[in-house]
Amino acid sequence: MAWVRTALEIQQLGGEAEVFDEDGDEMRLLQRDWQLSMEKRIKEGYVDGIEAGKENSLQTGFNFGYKVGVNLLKHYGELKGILSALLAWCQLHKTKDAASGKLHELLTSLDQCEEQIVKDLSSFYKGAQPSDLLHCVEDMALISHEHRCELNEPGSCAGSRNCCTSQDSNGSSTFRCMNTNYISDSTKEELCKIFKETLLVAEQLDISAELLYYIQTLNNTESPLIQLKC
Amino acid sequence: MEGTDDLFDDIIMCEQRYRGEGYEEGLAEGNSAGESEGKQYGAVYGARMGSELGCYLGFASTWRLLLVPASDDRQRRKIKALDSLIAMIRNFHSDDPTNPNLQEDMANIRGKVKQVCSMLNIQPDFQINPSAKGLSF
Amino acid sequence: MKDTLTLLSRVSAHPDSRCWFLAWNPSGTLLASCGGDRTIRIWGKDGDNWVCKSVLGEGHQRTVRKVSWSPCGNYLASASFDATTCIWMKKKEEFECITTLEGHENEVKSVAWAPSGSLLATCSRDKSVWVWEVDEEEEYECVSVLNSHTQDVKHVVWHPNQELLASASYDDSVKLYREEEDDWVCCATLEGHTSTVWSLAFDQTGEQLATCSDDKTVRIWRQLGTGEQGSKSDPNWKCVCTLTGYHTRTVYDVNWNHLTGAIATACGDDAVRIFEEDPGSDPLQPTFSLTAHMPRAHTQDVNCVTWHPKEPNLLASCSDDGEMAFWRYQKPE
Repeated sequence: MAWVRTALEIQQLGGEAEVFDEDGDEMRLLQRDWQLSMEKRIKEGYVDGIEAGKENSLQTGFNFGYKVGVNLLKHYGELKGILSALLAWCQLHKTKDAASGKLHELLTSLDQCEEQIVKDLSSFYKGAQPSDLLHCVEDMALISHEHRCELNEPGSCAGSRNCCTSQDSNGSSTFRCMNTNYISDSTKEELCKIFKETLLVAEQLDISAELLYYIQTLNNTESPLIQLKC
Repeated sequence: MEGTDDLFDDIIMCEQRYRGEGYEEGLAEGNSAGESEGKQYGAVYGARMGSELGCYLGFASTWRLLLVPASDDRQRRKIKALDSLIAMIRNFHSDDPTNPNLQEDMANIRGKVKQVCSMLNIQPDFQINPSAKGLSF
Repeated sequence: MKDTLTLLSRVSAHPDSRCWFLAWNPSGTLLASCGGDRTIRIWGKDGDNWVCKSVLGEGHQRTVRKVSWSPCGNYLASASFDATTCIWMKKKEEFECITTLEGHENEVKSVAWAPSGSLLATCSRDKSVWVWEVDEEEEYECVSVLNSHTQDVKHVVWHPNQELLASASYDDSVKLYREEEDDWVCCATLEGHTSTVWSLAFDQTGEQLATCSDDKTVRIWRQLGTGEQGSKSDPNWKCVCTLTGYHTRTVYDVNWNHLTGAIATACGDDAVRIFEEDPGSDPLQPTFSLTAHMPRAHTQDVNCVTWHPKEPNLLASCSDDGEMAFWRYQKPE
């Protein structure tokens, strides 16, 4: 829009300048020079502005995105680590070939899910419009374990974006159920399946109740990211 | 002729104004583009970091519970190394990319994971990647 | 000056290949060489000649880059580009590979046995330094993986009488490590070289460290404000001397004679050089002089120089030309 405005203003200015020189051809040339010169100024300013703006916000954006990424993926990573450990254990005690095969399969699926989540996460930010982003910033500024997600209530959070956000004491929105925001339904289903099957395999292995309990608790309210409706 | 000086002033002011307008417009656009771009990079980088750390934690916690409680010295050393790895991960402020020790702490954790795997005599399914890219750009 | 270094003999150690490294056993009766032909050779003296006593050819799939004798002389460790480290046990004349240490992701560049004999260090292109502990049953267990370097780690050496480990890297730095609460930590970083640090050697007391680099210099570092034994404060190492202008190419190796204090260097300009500290020079600002220079010691890059542990003037060197050479050094009057 600024370009249009500029063009209009240049015309005005050109009109005034007529007193200055009566030669029409030269006038047009001058006008053209003037116009070019002002356009150049605007462009220069614009380029500098973009650069300064990017410099201002790139790191802030990075820091924010980083937090989201770390907290979103660490629980899936934990499941991956559990699977890896169980697989290594089975391979060491060469007797559990069937379980090894299954664990390997689960790890492969989990890797694929993870790739998908990272891809979705990336395109979520890539595709976001500035106004959307502003909204999201407020929504997701805090990822706190202290806040319980009401995911367990039937019918809540069935994939809609902001159903679980609420105002906390200092007025900023708290991000509650990131998984529903970033992760597609099909990936969620797949994760749910992987988690269930991990438990099944683990139960068949000769492992301590303590370890089984640890695996089960991965899907609790403390680590809401695998709070899937299994 | 006195109008000429005024005109030159006007020209200079105009130039400044146009430049300023361009700048403001660029700044707003740059801010939003930079933020969006930064978030995108940050999210992907953070996701990799989170996944890696989580993986080490799950791996170490599981092995810790798989090992029979200290039957001999060697077993005790393994358990000790696992405990130390779990503590390192738990004490690591993973979600703060401005943490100046982030790279160093991460390198120490990766080293511990390698040591633990060597002690357990296993080759894990995951890659222990010591060459993560730098944080800032 | 040339006369101060006399060639005693020249042996084709690894024909049609490179000879990478040499290591004397602690008593000086045997010399181990390793090369690009994937073998380790053990050399002993027969009259005036050095003859090959055994060839250790089965252990490695790729180049053997470094070898190190255990302080008791009964074991030899070899580091290879095949990502493994082999431990060989001496049985009379023969050597048997008793353990293969795995864990590095790629090329193992160096291996060094600690003076106590119970610790072993390895380093690799994977940027890490590993510390291994040996128990009575000859079981090797990794006690630490140190990721302090940001690039390929070229060489590791132990302090002559403390459990202090030093490493040199492609990241232009030298790092020192010590044990702390059951783990190993990097306790000092020596920065000053402007390119890859290829090798390093402590003097007989361990108070000084010589490092050599792709930047064509040798630096001498001194431990200052000696952190008292057992105290938490880390010693401060300071570069007290830089030998510059002598080498025309990369300096690949530096070796400090623990009997005489003379420093030998191996250089990419095919030469072997000897430096000695000037008499009466200030320990905090020592000066060194070039006392011997053998310009065409080998026909290609000199990879390693090593002083005999008992005969103060005997020096061995080896090169990309596959040969090793034995030199007598005579200190100039």
